[in-house]
Amino acid sequence: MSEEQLPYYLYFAALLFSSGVFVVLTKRASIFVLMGVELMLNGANIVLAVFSQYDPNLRGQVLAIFAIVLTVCEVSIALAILLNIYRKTKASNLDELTKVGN
Amino acid sequence: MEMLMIIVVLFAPLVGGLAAYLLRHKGILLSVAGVAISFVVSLYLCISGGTIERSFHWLPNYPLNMLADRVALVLITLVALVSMLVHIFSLEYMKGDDGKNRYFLKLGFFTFSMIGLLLADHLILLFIFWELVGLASYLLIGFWYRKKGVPSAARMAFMVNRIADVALLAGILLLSNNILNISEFKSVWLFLPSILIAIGAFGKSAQLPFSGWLTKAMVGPTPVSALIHAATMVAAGVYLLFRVSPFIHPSALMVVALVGTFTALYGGVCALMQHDLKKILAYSTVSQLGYMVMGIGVGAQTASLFHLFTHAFFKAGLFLGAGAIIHFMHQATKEDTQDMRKMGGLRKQLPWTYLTFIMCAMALAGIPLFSGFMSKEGIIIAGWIWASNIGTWAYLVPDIALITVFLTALYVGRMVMLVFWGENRVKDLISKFSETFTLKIPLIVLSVGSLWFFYNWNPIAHVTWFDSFLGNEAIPSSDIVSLMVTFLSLLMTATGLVLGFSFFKPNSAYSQSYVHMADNRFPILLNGFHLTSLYQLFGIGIERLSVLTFQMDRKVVDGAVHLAGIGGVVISKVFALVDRFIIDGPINLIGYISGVTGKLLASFSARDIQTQFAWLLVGIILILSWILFF
Repeated sequence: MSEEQLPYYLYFAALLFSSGVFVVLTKRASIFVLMGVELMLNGANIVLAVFSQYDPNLRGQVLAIFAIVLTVCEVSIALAILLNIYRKTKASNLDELTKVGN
Repeated sequence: MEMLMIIVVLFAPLVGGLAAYLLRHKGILLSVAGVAISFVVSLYLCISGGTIERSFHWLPNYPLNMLADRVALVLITLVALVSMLVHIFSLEYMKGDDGKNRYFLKLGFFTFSMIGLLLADHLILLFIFWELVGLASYLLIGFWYRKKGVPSAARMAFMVNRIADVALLAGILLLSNNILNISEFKSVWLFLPSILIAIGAFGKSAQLPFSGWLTKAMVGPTPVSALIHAATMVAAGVYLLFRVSPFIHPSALMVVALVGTFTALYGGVCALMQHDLKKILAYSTVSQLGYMVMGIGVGAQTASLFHLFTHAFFKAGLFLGAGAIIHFMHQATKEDTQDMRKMGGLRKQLPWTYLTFIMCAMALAGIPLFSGFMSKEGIIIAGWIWASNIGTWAYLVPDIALITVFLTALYVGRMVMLVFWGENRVKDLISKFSETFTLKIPLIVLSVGSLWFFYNWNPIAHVTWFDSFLGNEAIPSSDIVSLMVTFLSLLMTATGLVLGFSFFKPNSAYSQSYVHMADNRFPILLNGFHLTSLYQLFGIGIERLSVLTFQMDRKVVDGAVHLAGIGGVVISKVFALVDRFIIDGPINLIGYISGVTGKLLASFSARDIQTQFAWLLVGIILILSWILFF
């Protein structure tokens, strides 16, 4: 991977991140917001992976793999929480979730 | 003991008057008794001599002195005597009047006030009694208050006196030190307080220009005229002048002499052509008071006081005689008349009145063997000596006094002729009228008191026991002056009487046509030189001035106040605008700005989590931009 190709990787990552932000800011449903967050994380992982090309120890790629693993955990927990909230309040929109606890 | 006697003398007439008022018919005799007690006690005090002086404290350390020295005691005795005689006379005179209880109360009140005035040594105390005497005079002038013209006459007499009293009070206040007891004065006063006090005395003693009230006062009951407006109250001014004459400024004393002289002439001239019997006597009183005031002015204090004393007798006698005549006319014609055109030939119906009237009239005219001659001589001689010390122009004073002697004889002759001589000018008179005892006694006492021998056995002497009794030296006079004045005065009197007799004797042309004499002959003399109109003009002038000042007040002062009010409103409106836009404006602006800012800031964190997140993102981008580009 040459130096000239680097901006395109970063453009792609920025596009992915921006798409995630857009989804997070515009969608009402909590599931969509969670998906947006995933997109943003993937954008960030791409940036980590791209910049680790210049590191002989590949610490960025390792960090990216760790982030993916953490993301898996996070998504599974967040989904569980959202499912439980939906069961309790019959609400999936973020605007309606104004109360903490019962 | 003496103090007790003084209190009895002072209060007995008042108590008697109150008894007369409260007890109705029985009380009237008690009022006579009250005055009689007062007279007897004062006579005793007078004979026993001695000076009684008492001070009582009005305010702390502000004593009011009462002084009963010989002068005061002699005059108190005189007042009590005349008052007693007037009381006795009134028993008959007021017999049929409904208000006689009120009448006797007022008489008693007057006697009380007058004695108080004579006792007072402190000027403020004197002023209090001075006012009380004026009030009593007002009440008695207006006694027949239902008659037309009486209330206005009473009011005029009262108001003219008040004007003079203001001057008196101002004079007293101008003396302005703690000692206002006359007997404690040492030095001569300044001109202004002297003249003001003299003006106060002029008012009470009916001197020019205040003379008009005395003739107006003649609408009161005739015995009242005898007591108040002839014998006692009008002499109060002379008494005051007598007491303060050692302290009066010499220039003011000269004014006093001139005013007295011209008043004497004025009274004499005005008395000449009156038709009203009481008005003749009133003008005559003015004239005689002028003599007394002139006497004070020329330094013949004792002679003045002596004239006051003798005048009280013969003038009270004349007034009571006039009262008897009016009483008779009232019963004879069933109407109140004092007009001499309806009299004439009364000597047949009223022999006692005629006799006593003639005696008193002779005393007034100044014929030897009567008291008036002696006292008048003393004053004129003193005037002559005073003039010789002052200068040529000052001979005006004794000359006018001598002319007035002539006038006095003339009008006395006219009065006696027209009232008593000739035939009745009203035909249908009742013939039966008895002069009762109560009418006769006072007349006889007063006319006998007008004879010479009470004062000096020598009928043409002008020096009497009065001088030595009062402890004053008679004015040393050269025999030539006194002889000349006596001669001139006798000449004047004789001329006046002869002229009076020849003009007004029953068969003369004047007497024949007198019944039909119109009112408009000699209008100036008849109206006393329109002095009362002058007062009215003065009153109208004052009224105009008050109207003018009222208008001034309303237009100018009120206008200014309104203008100030409107100005205040305008200014406050302007301030309100300034307040609202200039002061409130920035504050409101600041508030508005903070409100907008607050809303803006609040909108960042408001609504929902996505907006918050968006702003968070904006913030992060800004921070990152800051780090990257600066």
